[in-house]
Parts: sequence; structure tokens; C-alpha cells
Amino acid sequence: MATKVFHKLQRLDHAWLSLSPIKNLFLSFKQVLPLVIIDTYWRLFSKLFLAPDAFFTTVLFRYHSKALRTPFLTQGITNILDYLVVTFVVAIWTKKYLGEHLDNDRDTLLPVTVNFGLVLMQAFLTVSNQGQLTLHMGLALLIAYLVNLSYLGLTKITKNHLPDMGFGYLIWAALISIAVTYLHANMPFILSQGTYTTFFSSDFFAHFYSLAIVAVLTPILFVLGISIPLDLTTGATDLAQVNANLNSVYQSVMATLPQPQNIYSVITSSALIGGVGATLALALLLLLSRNKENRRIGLWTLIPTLFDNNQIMAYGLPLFFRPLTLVPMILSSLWGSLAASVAIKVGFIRPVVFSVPNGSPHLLLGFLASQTPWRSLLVSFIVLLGAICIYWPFVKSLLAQEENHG
Amino acid sequence: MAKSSKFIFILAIFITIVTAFSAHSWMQSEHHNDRAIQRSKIDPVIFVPGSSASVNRFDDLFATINAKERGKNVHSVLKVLVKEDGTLSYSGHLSSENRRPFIVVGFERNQDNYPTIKADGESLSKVMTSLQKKYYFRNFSAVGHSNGGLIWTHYLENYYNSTNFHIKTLMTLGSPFNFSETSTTKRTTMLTDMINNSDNLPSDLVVYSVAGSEDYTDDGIVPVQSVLSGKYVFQKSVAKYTQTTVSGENAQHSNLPENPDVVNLINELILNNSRDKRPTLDRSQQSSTGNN
Repeated sequence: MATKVFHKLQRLDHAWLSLSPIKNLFLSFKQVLPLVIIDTYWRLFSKLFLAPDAFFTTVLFRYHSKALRTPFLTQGITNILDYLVVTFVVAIWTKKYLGEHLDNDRDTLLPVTVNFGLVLMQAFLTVSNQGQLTLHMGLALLIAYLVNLSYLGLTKITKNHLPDMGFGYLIWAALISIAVTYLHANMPFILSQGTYTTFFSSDFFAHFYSLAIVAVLTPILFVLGISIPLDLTTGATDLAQVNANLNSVYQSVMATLPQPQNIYSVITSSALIGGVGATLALALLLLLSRNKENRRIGLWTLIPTLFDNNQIMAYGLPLFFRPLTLVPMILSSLWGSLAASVAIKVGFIRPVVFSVPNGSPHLLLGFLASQTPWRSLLVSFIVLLGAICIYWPFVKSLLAQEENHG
Repeated sequence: MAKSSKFIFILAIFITIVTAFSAHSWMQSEHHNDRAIQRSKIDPVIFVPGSSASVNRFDDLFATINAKERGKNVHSVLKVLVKEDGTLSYSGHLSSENRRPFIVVGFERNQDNYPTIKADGESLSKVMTSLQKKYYFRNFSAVGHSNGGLIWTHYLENYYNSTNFHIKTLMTLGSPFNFSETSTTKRTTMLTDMINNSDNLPSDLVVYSVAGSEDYTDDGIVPVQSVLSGKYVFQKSVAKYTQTTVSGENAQHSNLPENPDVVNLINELILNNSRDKRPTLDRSQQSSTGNN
């Protein structure tokens, strides 16, 4: 039964990859990979050393060096690199996709520039007085796709007679730009905010079933290019459940915690080891790959993934918009949350409760922030091992596919 | 496994171990402090003097209060001076046996203008962090004389973090929320800012605003209307806001901290923490009470 489903999934993945927009999108991902690597390593370096609350300056020096205290500069560079990755993906994708659907003599500079500019505009609109908002790559790609379709539609209606930079296309560019800017400017704030603390603080998220829903939805949203709320990924200790637990522990060391199962103790610490989809397991498996290209992705991604940034794999394999990798991501995420939940329920571990230095790997959250450090560490490694077993058949299939494609 | 894979795998293990042990040692010391803060029984009253006043501004008030205590539960006094360059100078001591010690936070930069109030509000935040690191307290009450009340308000609206601290009561003494404006319709930039940011005030805070009245219009320096403008800042944002006017000979602006009614108010509303008990006011009148 499982084999049957697996083969069906393989066929679906194969068919999906042969779709023109997807094929071109994945080629664009591969082309921006060097920029993604720069972005990822800059993020890592800044998270560990440069940011005001950087991990190593906090834990080793216990104070924040004034010389390194340049939050605007480091955050600014990070934002620019993030934006450039998405803008280049969109621009390259537009060029490839339109190039495939238009006559060879047609110059695609205008639609490429329009899409490039529109993504930049969306990126800059995320910087607001309400703090840094989120740029969803999935949304940027959807808009770019619609822009491309409208360009192809116009070309078809006008029977390919309009000059590349003639009035017709210029008016199209102006109308498209106005429409996208208007839509984006009027997008509800709730869609672009980075944190949803009040939402995740509700009692609903203090039970296994609701946390399991989060564990399943997180990889799906990630794969669709929707940014994951920081409450899940950064170990946000301002969640009400975490605060309630913390207060109990401070009053009496071994107090019964009011809400042992919460986003922090179940999702962040176990379902997100190595980033969304517990992808540290996948990074380790890629190191074993005989395929040089995949092994190289594994080499580049292992250290950032240890610190829960899986962007290199997300663009390199890719994980985005890929049914074959979505399934093990969901399963691993679910397995992580189940293992942590059961371990807490049976009293094998005490939940993660303390706040840790910013940038601490999720793999070590149990060890650092729970009152049963060694047992929690053991659970983290069991989760990792389980995730490796889940990813293994999918990685094998992925590598076989790569080899077949040469 | 290829050589490069082996290398990166071993590097990852090494980084994991370094990260684990350095963070573990940090956690041990940090949470020991956090726990001490959370369990601390110290609940200081922190005083901020007004413009041009030194850290000794409340000495007479402390002497009066301590004399009333007649040797039992004498409040120890710690003074912190924030120098022009931002460095802190400590004098006096804070006894750990004393549950309600007094702390005075004074500023070398203490001119009577809005930029100074903003700068001092920011400095107050640094002082609070420094005090918490030294004395492990979480709960506190605040008293601000004149611009000291404005500095507290600016701090509470812009820097106060309820995860680190819990302020129970704020008492402002003759604090001119609308500077020297006598009209309530004419709002200064400071008052407008404070009203705009009032959502950031802690919702469980109890505020007492005390005005002095020498001749029904002012306390010799600050117009009563300006003090009463505080209601626009606090009334709908905090748990309880009470305005009180004290009058008579000792109601002059600079004498407010020594005014017997004010001493009574501090004794009963802050030190005894008798929120439900009405203060004994001989020569004062309750002008208005706003509950939210």
C-alpha cells in the first residue's frame, strides 16, 4: 500500500516537473542558488556574531560589543539580500517562461523589468512603521505568473504585431503596475505581519491535536512560499503558555506546568529541527549522496541547517513547490511533534520552558531550555533519527530522478 | 562518504558541541538570576525628582517617613545619579532585609524641557535594568515629583517591559502634564505624545496624581490645570486613576514632597499598599476619581 502511494507520488512529481512554468521556475531557483548561499551565510554570520543579540556575543562575552552593534546595517543587508533572491527568481523565471512561449525575435526585457520592479516594490512596502513585515515568495510568484499570462494574452490578441517597447506594451506595463501596487498597498495587514503572538497564545494551541495541525500546516505553507510566523521559528517565549510555565517554574522548581504542550515545547523544539519540515535529517542524507550536485548542496547547507535555516535546500533541491519533498516534510514535522508530545505526556521529559540565547539551534532547545536536559537531548536525537528514516526513501527517489535526468 | 562530506559532518558536530556547552553555561547563570528576580520579595519605591533637583530632593520626606516608623522597618535609601555622559553613580545602600527600600534616581541633565524629559526617560530605562541586575526585583512602585512624574510617564509609555518588571503604583506630585499651559484645550507636544502613546501604559497600573494649590490656580509654579491634564493620559488606559489636590501652606510646588498630606498619601497608598483604603486627608480634597 505504502509502496503504491509512494510510486503514485513519484509519478505525480514527475508530471509536475514537466509542466512548463514549474520546470522554468526550478531552473530559476538553481540559477539564483549562489545568491541564496550568500544570503544564508550572511544571515548565519549576523545571527551568530553581528546582531545586537547575536548568539556568540551573548553567550561568550555576555555583553554586546558596541563596535558590532549595527542592527540597522546588518538587518538592512539581510533584507536586501532576501529581496534580491526573490526578485531575481521572478525575473529569471519570467525570462525563461516567456522565452519558451514567444517567438525567438521577441524581446522580453519589458515584462522582465516590470516583474523585477513589482517584486522590489512589494519588498519595500514590507518596511513599515509597524516593523518589518513579511514578503511571501509564493504571493510574489503568483503575481508574476498572472503578469506573464496577461503579457502572453496581449501578445496573442494583438497577433504578435505590437513592437516590444511600443505604446501598447507600455500601457500594459503601466496598468499592471498600478493594479499590483494598489492590490499590495491594500492587502490586509494580517497577511503581511511577521508574528501572531496573540493568536498562538490562545488555549487552542495547548493541546496535541491543535499542535499536530500546526505541524502539518507549517511545511505546506513553507512549500507554497508563504513565510512562517516568527512565533514558530524563533522560540518566542512571549507566548502566554510559555510565560505561564515559566512563572510556575520560578515559583517552584519542579512545579506542575499549567500548559506543558505548547508551540515552543512541541513545535519549535521538535518539529522544526533544522527548519520547517525537520530538514536537518535531509541535509545529513544529502551528504551521503553520490550525485555531486546534491552532495554540494548538502555541504553548503549542513551548518546553516544546524541553525535552522534550510533556504539552500529550499532553492537548491528544491523544496519549494515540490510534492515529492512535501510529503516527508509533513511526516517528519508530525513525527517530531508526536515524539515530543508523547515524551512530555508520559513524563519522560519536562517541556522546554526557559528562553534561550537568540540563534540557538532547535536541536539543542531541549538540552538548553528544559529541566531534563539529557533526556530532552535524547528525544531530539530520536526525532532526528526518525526524520532520517522518513526522508531516506524520498531522497533515494530524488537522487534516482536526478541521475535519470543526467 | 566523500572526504568533503566527512569534514563538514565533523565540523557540524564540533559546532554543535561548542554551541551546546557555551549556551548551557550561559543559561545556568542567566536563569539563576531570573529565578532570583521572580522570587524576590524586594518591592522598592523608586523616586524621581523634578528639574534642577538633586538626588537629595527627597531626604526630608524619607526622614519623616522613617521617623514615623520609629525604628521598625526603617526604609534603606539608595541613590543613583545619571551623569551627563550616561554613567551611573551609586550612593547609599539597599538593605536586602528591607522589603520596601527607597531608591532615588536623579539626573545631572535635568533642565525643564521636553527633549530632556525624553532623554531622562530613556536613561531611566537603563537605570532600571542596572538596578534589577544588582538587586533582583520585579515589583516596584514609583513616585515622581514635578518633571519626575513626566519622566516616569515617558518611561512607562516607551521603555517599560512587563515581562521584566511589574509596576504597581505611580504617584505623580505636581507633575505638569501640559507644562505651563493653563488652558486644557491648548495641548503641548509632550501632552499630545503622551496621550497618543497612552495605550502602552500597563493596564493594571494604579495612578495617583497629586496637585498642589496655593491660590486655586497653581502651586506657585505649576498650574493646577496642567497637573489635571494627566487625566487625558491615564484615565482610560490604566486600572485606576485618581486626582487629588492638596492645599494650604505646604502646598507650594517645591514643598510638595514634604507636605504632610503627601506624606500620608505615600504612607497609605504606596507603603501600606492599601489600595482599597481611603487615605486620611486632613487638609486635602479629593478632586476627581476616574476608574476604568
